[in-house]
This record gives sequence, structure tokens and C-alpha cells, in this order.
Amino acid sequence: MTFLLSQLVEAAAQRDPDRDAFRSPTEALTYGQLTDRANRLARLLVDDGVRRGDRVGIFMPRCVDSALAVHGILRAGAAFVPLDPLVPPEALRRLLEDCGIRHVVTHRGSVKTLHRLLAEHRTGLETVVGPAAPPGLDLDPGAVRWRPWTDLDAYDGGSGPDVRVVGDDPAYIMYSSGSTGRPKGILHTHRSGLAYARLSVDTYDVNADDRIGNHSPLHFDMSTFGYFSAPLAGATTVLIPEAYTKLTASLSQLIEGEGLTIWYSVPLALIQLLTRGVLDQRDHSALRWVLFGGEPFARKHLYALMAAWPNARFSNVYGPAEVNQCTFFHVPRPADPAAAAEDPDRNAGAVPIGRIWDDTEGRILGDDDRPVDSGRSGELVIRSSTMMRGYWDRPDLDARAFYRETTDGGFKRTFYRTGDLVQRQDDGELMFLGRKDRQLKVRGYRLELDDIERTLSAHDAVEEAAVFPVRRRDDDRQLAAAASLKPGTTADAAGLRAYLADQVSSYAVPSEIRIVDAFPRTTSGKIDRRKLQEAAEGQPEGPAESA
Amino acid sequence: MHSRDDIETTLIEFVTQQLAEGRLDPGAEALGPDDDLLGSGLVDSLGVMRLIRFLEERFGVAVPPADVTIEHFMTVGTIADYLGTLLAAAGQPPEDIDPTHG
Repeated sequence: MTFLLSQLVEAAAQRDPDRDAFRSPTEALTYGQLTDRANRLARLLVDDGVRRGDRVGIFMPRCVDSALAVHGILRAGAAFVPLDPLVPPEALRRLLEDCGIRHVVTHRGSVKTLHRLLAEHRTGLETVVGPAAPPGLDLDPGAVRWRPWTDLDAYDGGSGPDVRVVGDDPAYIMYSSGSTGRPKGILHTHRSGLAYARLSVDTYDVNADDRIGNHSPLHFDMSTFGYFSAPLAGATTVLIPEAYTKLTASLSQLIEGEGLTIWYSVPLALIQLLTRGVLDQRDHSALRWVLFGGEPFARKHLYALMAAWPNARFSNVYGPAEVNQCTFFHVPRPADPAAAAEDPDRNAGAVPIGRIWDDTEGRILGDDDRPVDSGRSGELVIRSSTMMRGYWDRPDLDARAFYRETTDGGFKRTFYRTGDLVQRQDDGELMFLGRKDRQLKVRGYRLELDDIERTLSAHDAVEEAAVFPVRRRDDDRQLAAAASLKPGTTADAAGLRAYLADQVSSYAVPSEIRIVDAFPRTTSGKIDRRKLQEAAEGQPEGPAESA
Repeated sequence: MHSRDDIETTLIEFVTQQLAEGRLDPGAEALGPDDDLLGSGLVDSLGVMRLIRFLEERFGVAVPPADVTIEHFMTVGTIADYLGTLLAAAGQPPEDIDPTHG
């Protein structure tokens, strides 16, 4: 029996050691090889002081070594923490500190950035595993121990270290909003991660012959499908290199060349494939499931994709990272998808998020925390085996996120407040209406607008600032900001962008910043962000300044 | 008099000033023609679109979607090579255009 995420790869290797577990167009590791390498990495980490429950960082782009890091760290009894390789050094330092990370596994593409961080900042890092230390490394001798990959050769790959782990132990921590302020780490256990893997494998009937395209970064919860569900099924995950996600014709070639059978991404990637993927020249007939989530997906694009991929079924996946995934909606295929894509009557309206999974209980609560009347909107609160254990070291956030009740007999039940407003349709399917607060997803990344606003407002020259979404071509949502300046100060959009880029993750930097004399106001005197958004949408795209 | 080198210079300027704003580490070396633009995160997917629009407007070429591949767009050098073939196909070898005053 498989009870732990750390057992997945070895169990798959016992069934078929020669099948590719993780691959990219240039690299591959079979289940047998991955088991051997993960055992060695686990032994090395334990040797270097990693203990059960420790947090070990993974600082690298999507590549085959990232799968080795994930499964090696789990095998050592530790929890892995994905670190966004594009995060600015200061934000990375805060995250390492917040999570108490002493060990990091890295990769040749990221080692220079890590080196620079270590040269300029004090961190608690003790060990770095990865490529050989860069030449000219000038660090306090003994402060950080560099462990090149070749050190793995000295360890036994036949079995892992002798470490006791139970299902309730931490398996991974994903930082959802490490963009500003104090980072927020979502802690999942072996049990919640494995529950997700089981539900998803069952829902999409994933089997060993499947080839799953993993498009999302490791620090984004969608990646758990490729890193966990695939090994549970003994399937192959194709880790799509960063460059392919930006060059749509190559991405389209990869889907054909790798014979992908299951795709999972945010809608934007699918929209780009549709508009720039020259689908009529590619054979994507192996695709049998297309999963999308993270943001709403317009029906017109969805139907057009159905016309282009006649063999595929499409599933809208919903769930905050705190519960990984909790609802799905298999979108019915119209008799003539191409016609439906063109028909405004049929492509109006959002795609439902569907029904909650087995082993999940959901309620729709009003502001008074009582269930709303049938058909009314309210906040979705859920309880499931895929739910996180809590936020890392943030009892204050836990207190707000969890909703507890006591049943007859005194048993406690804990629900997670999604903060999402939903409504149940007459046919029983749930519709997503929006965020309860001002949290927003842009290109799949979750952003706290108020946090970014606070950061921008903290700039010396800024009097007031507002951050808001702007809808652009292809239904792509971008972040925009407006700022007014204190009298007698000077600042320009480029300067403010550079300032923000130092403070927040790249995806949290507004793509446009306008300097304004004054803000439009609501009757209560607040900044009218809706008016700002409308004005920005009426203007040409691009960084702009107005006096 | 405007050579492939000039095209590379124009492209490096555009990427550095327009696309990589805030992403180029001040301590890092200047962007070179063989540096990976995409794997490093220097240019994001919207940046690729802006880059294509820039090529089309500045050099008067059309970049068909099927050409937006790793072979053509991985580095400033490969973009310059690709642009050369587009210009040659349009009967306009790189020497004949002025990349700084498009």
C-alpha cells in the first residue's frame, strides 16, 4: 500500500522500472533511475543534517532535476519548498528566513542567482546541493557547504535512509503570495497530497500509458498533478521547459512530438495555442484530456479548441491552493463546436466550476456564516481530505481561514473559507462569481492587490497609489497601477517600476504605471478603482506617463 | 553599411530597455547575442509578443505564427539570423535597411 508521497516513485519503479517518469525534450529519468537518484539525494541530505519535518528549498526552473529534488527531499522525511527562480533576491531572502530553510537544491540555470544572494545577504543556509560551486565564489569559508551532484555517487541508491514518516507529516509548503510583505506558506501533508493524487487519477482515469504535459511552475499548485498524480498512475510527466511556454509554435510541436495525452494549464496558454499554435498543421490527436483552471476561460475559446482537438475532453478545474482542487466540470461538447464558438448566444456566460469532489463537503455561506437560500450567492467553504494542514507559522491566518463547528457528541469539524463567491445553478453546478476580497489572479498567479498597493505607496515620492486589473487582448488580464506624487517630488513610471521590481515578484509588477494628478473618487471619498480600470482599458497598451 | 551587427545592437537595446526592465540584475554582465532570453525569465510571454511587434514595425517584415519557435527566438543572435532570412526573402538584404531609423 502507498500511504505516503515519498513512496510513489518507488512503487511505480517496482511495476515498470524502465518507463520514463519525468522527461523534457532534452532529458529523461526512468522510474528506476529516479528511485536510485532520489534515494541517494535523501541519504546525502540526512547526512548533512536534514531531519524529519525540516524544510528544504528547491530553487530551479522546471526541469528533470526538479522532480529528483521533490522526491529525494520527501524520501529524506523533509518537506520541499518551491522557490520561484525569478523572485528578487530580497523576497527570496525573506522567504528562506520565514520558512527556516537551511538546505537548498539548485540547478545550473539558477546557481548564479543563488550565489549572488549568498554573497550579498546573510541567510540561514547551510548546504546547497546542485552544480559545482561557481568559479570565483567568495563566501565566508565554511558558512555554506556546496555539494555538487557528483557527491551523490558516494551514496547507496538501493534504498533510502531509515526515516520514519507518517501521513500527517509536512510534505510541501507552497508560498501563494510571497510577492509582498510577509510571505504566506500553504502547508500540505503527505496525506492531503496523496488524497489529491488519488482523486485526480480517479477523475481523469490516468494510467501508465498517459503522457502528461506539466506547464505550470513547481511553486504553483497545478504542478502537483504532474509531480504526484502521474507517479501514482505510473505515467510519464513531460516537464515543459520555460522557453516552450513562451514560443507557441514550439509548444505546439512539443505536444505532437511528445505525444501528450493529458494537458493541464491556465487558460492563457490554451488561448495562445489556439491563436498562434498553428493547430491545423499539427497532429494533437493523442490528447484525451485538457484540464484548465486558475482563472475563468471564455467559452468562445473553449469551443474553438474543441473544434481543433476533436478527441479531447475538457475539464474546468477549480480549487484554491489551500485545498489543491475541490471541484471540476467536464464541459459538454456541442454538436458543432466551431459553430458554437461563433454563436454569441451560446458562448455567452462563464463555464461552471461544477461539482465538488467525492470526499469533499461544501457549503455556501452568507455574511452571517449561515447557509444561503438555494440559488443565492455566498462564500464557498469546504472540508476535504485534500485540505492543507494550515499556513506555515501563521496562526493568525489560520484563525481567519478556518471555520470550525462542533457536531453532536462534541466532534470538531474544520472547513476552509475559500474567500470565493459562488452560486449554485438550478442544475446543481456551481458558478464562480469572484473573490470576496481584492485578491486577484493574473496569468494564473495569485496577487494581493492591497499588498502591492501598500508597497507602491511606500515609495518616497508617492502620495497615493492604486493597483487594479486591466483586461487586454486575448482576455489576458494585466496589472496596472496609478500613482499621484507628493508635491515637490519627482518620479516617473520607469523609476516606480524599478522600485517595485526590487520589492515584489516579477508577476506582481504592474505592466503599466501611470502618474496622475489626482484620482477619481467614489462618493465616500475612496479611490474609484473601477473608473481607473475603465480609463486604462480605453487607452492604448504599454507603459505610459501623463503629467 | 548596416550589418547584422547593427541588427544585433538594435535588438539588444530593445530587449534591455523595453522588455527586461527591472529584471536585469544591476550586477550582471550586459546582455550578449548568445544569452538565453527565455529560459532565464528575462523575456516573458508578453515580452515575446512585444518583440515580434517590434520586429514587424521596425524592419517591415511579417512574422508568421509558425515561425515563433525556439530555433528562431532563443537568443538575440538567432533572432538576427532569422530576421536575415526574412529580409532576404523579401528581397531586402540586411545591409539595405537602417535599423536605427525604422
